Amino acid sequence: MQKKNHTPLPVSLEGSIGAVRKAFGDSSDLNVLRAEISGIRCAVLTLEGMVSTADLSKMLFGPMMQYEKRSARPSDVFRFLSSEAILSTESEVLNTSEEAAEKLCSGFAVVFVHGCPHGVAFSAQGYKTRAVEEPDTEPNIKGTREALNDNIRTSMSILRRRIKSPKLRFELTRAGTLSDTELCIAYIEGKTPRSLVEKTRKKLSEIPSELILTSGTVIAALTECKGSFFSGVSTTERPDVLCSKINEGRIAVLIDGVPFAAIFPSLFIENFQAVDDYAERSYFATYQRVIRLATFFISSFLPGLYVAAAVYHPEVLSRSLLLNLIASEEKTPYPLIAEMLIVIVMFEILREAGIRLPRAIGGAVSIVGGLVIGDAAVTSGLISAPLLIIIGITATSAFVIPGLNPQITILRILNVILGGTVGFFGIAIVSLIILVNACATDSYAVPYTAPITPFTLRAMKDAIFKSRSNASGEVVEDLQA
Amino acid sequence: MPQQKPTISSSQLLILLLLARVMHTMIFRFDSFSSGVPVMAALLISTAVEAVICLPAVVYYSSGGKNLIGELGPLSRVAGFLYSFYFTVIAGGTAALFAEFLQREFYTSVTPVAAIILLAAASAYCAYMGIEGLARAGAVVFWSFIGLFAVMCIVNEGGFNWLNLRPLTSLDIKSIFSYSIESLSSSWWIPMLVILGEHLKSGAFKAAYGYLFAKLIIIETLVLLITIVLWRYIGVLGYPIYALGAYAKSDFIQRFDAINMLVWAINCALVLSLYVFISQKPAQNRKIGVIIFSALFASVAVYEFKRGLRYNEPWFLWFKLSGIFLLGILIPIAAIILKKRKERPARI
Repeated sequence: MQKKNHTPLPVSLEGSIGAVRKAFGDSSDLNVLRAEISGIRCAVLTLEGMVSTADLSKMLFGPMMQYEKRSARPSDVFRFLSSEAILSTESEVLNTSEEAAEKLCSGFAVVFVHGCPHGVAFSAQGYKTRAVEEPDTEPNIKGTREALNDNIRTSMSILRRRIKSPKLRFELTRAGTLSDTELCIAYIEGKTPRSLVEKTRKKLSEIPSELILTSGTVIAALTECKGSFFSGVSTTERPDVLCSKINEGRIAVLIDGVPFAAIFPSLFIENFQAVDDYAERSYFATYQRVIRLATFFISSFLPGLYVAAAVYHPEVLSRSLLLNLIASEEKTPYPLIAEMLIVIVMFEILREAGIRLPRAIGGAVSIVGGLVIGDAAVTSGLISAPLLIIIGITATSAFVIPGLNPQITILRILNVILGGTVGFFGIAIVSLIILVNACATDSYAVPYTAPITPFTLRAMKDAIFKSRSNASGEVVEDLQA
Repeated sequence: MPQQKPTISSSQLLILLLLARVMHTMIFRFDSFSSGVPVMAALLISTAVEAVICLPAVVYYSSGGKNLIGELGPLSRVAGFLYSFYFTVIAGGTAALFAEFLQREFYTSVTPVAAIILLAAASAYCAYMGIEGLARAGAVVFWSFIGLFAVMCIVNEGGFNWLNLRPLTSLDIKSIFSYSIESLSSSWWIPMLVILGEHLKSGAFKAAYGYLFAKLIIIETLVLLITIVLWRYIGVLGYPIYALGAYAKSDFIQRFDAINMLVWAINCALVLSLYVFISQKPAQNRKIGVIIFSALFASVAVYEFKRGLRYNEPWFLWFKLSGIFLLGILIPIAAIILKKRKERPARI
């Protein structure tokens, strides 16, 4: 948070309280508790729901009640509170009303003593947070059932429990001119290049946003190639994934209030790796990765190739398939490209409805979409059955790699439009543009398409083919151009 | 996303040069074909000549030179525009030939002018992305081409007729000479090396001679296959590599023609991007440079296509040859001399 026009705290208690009240604009959640210690007036300021009352009475009120000194001066009471009485692990002397407001927003309690132009802030956070839950968006079979948490401290402890080494470093920083959100840079000393850590610090300190409410704001600030189709920064809510990535020399940024961590540099090939690969035999893990890679091409290119082949290059298709296709398409009223676009848009609407609706109703959408609309569309002759099969395969394939869903969706539509307009030539043009864009994307001097191109043999051991050893090397240093 | 310090490896440059050469071979149309053996012999001769004439550029970059055109001092801007002009014409010729190929073989899908415009737009964008992106993408395209070629060979239904390899006679000397000149005129990889050499991390020698060796193997293999599988049918079929694809069949994919074209189109757009990247070098602003030079080569391509001019015709042969002589031999020699002169006082 930028500190401008700092107002020193006044000597009088009412003046100090008034300065803080002014900073909050008389906000209703500012609580002021007045008390007297050995005849000296004091006030404890807290924000509603941000502190634990039990901790407050144990750490502050208990020692305060025990303080007995005849003819105590305000400075004696302040010294007692700031250095002897409070049992909190974190306490700080405050000199300005802005500092007091900042501490209150972070869940601290602030004590003012009449006659002292200072305050004491001590940590007594006790706001309600979500319990550690299972990772919703990245389920697995044999990995952990714990996910990162909205509370940044909980997430840090989850990581620390998995890497019990002092080499795991956490650096807390703040961003967001209004939200003043805590961010935590996590990395392993000796594995992550120093330049990468420094660059991250600098980029985080330059975030211009007022509020940081999602990982998207942090990702946008960390992304180096602004015109890139793919992102060199990925997210995860799995602590095991996060630990393995930072063990490879990458950096994670945890965000307070967001149960996802941003990881970078990130590679294209990592979208096809899963935690369960490391619990499987090498040959099976490799097979699964090849399947995932195939699903990327199926979900992005199959509808476009189908339209282009059926309209412009029927010689590609086998004779029996072609005859079936002609028979089905003869019954439909629209051109194949329009038919395909209608079904894709319909599918996107159903998918969006499934995500936005409450889970209880979400299931009904799939029934309405899959059974009612799909079946009715084919029976009424609006859409051909082969086309619906193509969309079914495409949609299922896209679910395998949720991390690339935005790119796949756009690629699919572009391929259908250009494939349906100028045939395979159009698909070739789209493919090259996307390929060159991905190849030109660098994330912190690491090519996004590495280790495939540029080819790096050492890093290839855990790219598509999973080697027998699960030991992670310093992948980032290996790949940096 | 233009990069600050774009550098590529010698193997990446080698692949880019090979893709440019393969593109030229792909769109080469034979109207008559007597025998493949003189062509194979001519390839050997032209490769030997290329190995000698590329020496000035290779020596310059191998001896620590960083910017060959920059060595020319006040003349460097003029030289830069000469390269731009040369590669704009080459790009225009390549696009025109590819448009002709599309018109002949895929007339239902795209009109030639639309194809040229699409190619120009794609190559402008790809060239703007920079040499690193092009070089990395080049590796993927190259291995896709090799993969497709291998698949087509495996499922090919064409039979080998070794009798097509007719021994050389004294009557073939004239055709060997003309094929050699023709092959030599396709050696614009030397001016490409002159421009792209400044992006090389190291290994100009490896890139140049690796390219010559790989080119020899790939083109000789293609000519051998064309000769023993197709022979005189080439005159009827036109595009020999495309014709090889027509013989490839499987139960799943009826014919490979369109798939073959898909890889050709990707390669064509990539190679055109490379030419645009080279052409825009003298421009101050890369964004404006790529737009101008893409528009220029598209105009050249449309003009050539409409007027029926092709860069594999005799009149064009001399343009290509003189370009190679000036931009690939003379300018590098001048750069070496100027570099030596600059270094001399420092030694004293």
